[in-house]
Amino acid sequence: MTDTPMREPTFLVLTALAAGPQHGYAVIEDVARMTDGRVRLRAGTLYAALDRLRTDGLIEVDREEVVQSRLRRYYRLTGVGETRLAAESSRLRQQATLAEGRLRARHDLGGAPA
Amino acid sequence: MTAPLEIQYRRLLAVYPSAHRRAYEEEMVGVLMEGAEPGQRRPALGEAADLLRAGILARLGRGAQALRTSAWRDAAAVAGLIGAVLLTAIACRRLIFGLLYARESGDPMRAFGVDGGLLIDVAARSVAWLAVVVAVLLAARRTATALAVVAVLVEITAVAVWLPSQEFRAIRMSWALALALLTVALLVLSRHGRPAVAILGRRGGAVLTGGLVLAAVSALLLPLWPTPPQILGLVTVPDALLLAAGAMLLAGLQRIPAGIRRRILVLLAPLLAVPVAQRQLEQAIDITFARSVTPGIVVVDVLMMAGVPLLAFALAAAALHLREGITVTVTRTPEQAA
Repeated sequence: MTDTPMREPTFLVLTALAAGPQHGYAVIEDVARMTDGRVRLRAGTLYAALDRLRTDGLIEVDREEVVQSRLRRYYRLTGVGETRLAAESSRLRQQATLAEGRLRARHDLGGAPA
Repeated sequence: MTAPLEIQYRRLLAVYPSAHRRAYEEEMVGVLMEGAEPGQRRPALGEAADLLRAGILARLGRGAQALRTSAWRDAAAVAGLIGAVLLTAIACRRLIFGLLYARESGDPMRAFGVDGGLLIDVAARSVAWLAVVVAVLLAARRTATALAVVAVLVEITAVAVWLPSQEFRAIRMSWALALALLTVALLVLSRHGRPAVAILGRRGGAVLTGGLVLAAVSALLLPLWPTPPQILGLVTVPDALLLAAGAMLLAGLQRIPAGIRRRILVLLAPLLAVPVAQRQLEQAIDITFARSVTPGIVVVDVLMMAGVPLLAFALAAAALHLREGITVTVTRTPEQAA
């Protein structure tokens, strides 16, 4: 596991699973809902992220179900995944705070474009 | 009956490595079918492109991951040593021939007041690769890798200094650069594994070193002995020494565990393919009659020097995959065992 910044799909998948165990298609729907339809994960991208997150121990299989003869595997966040998501959220918050602070200062100094 | 759309999705999923398919195929088909529009008969272009991209990346990722396992690292350490020994031997051989010529016919550079000027580049290459071999044998892996990078720069410089007078020098010496780069790659791959001497073991190392020394002796004897005597009228003395060297090298490799030994052979395949690639390249561009180095010749050079070793590696790796994939498992129930 590395502490390099997460790619957006990875961050969004972990955020979706932070709400509780979900299967693949539910994660796609949840991510689309969370981002107001801006991000619609495709199956290839989703399973690349899920495979990597499982290998790194950030998520694990919660349970499996067969619905209409199709396999549904539910994934859940692990303790390591929770810590990593919290760290990434904190990093993003710090960056956002920094950017907002500088933008405020720019406006206060009258540096904003007319 | 399976829907045509599902068949199409399964065809696209075939691009993924088998381990990935075993783990996720059913689940992915479920997700893809759930996301499909009613009446949809073909995968959407974006979805298909995403599956192909992710599948190829998974395949490349698994390949790179497999190369980082300890057996491959161990194999790379030995193959890297062999590569460095080969490059040392080639440069030393050129140096010895050059020195012998200078002794018999006089140094052509003496007229310009620079003794041995024509051999500086070969001497530099010999010293550079010899330093790599010594570092590998001393188990100084980082130093060996750094020295190998320096040796590559020496190889490039050795080609560059001749370019003003020999336009085709870079083309004729492509094999040296390819061999050098492959050796660096092997040493980089092996730098977190065991050192080559630890893998070979004391006896294996001794047998392998003995074989290399014999090979070097037989190579040195050739120019000194124009009509070598024959043993029982069958083989000449240098040839017999070369055969003995080959047998010792094989015996040295035989002492290595089978899994690592096979991987050494797979990694040696691209090294051995380099001279073949050079010969094919020179034939393809008809180097004897070519007038100048055109951009087309450069493209053919790069393609062949990269493509032929890569193809050799792919074929050898496929053979290894087949060899190791065919395993027979015999399980006995407690009743049968009793």
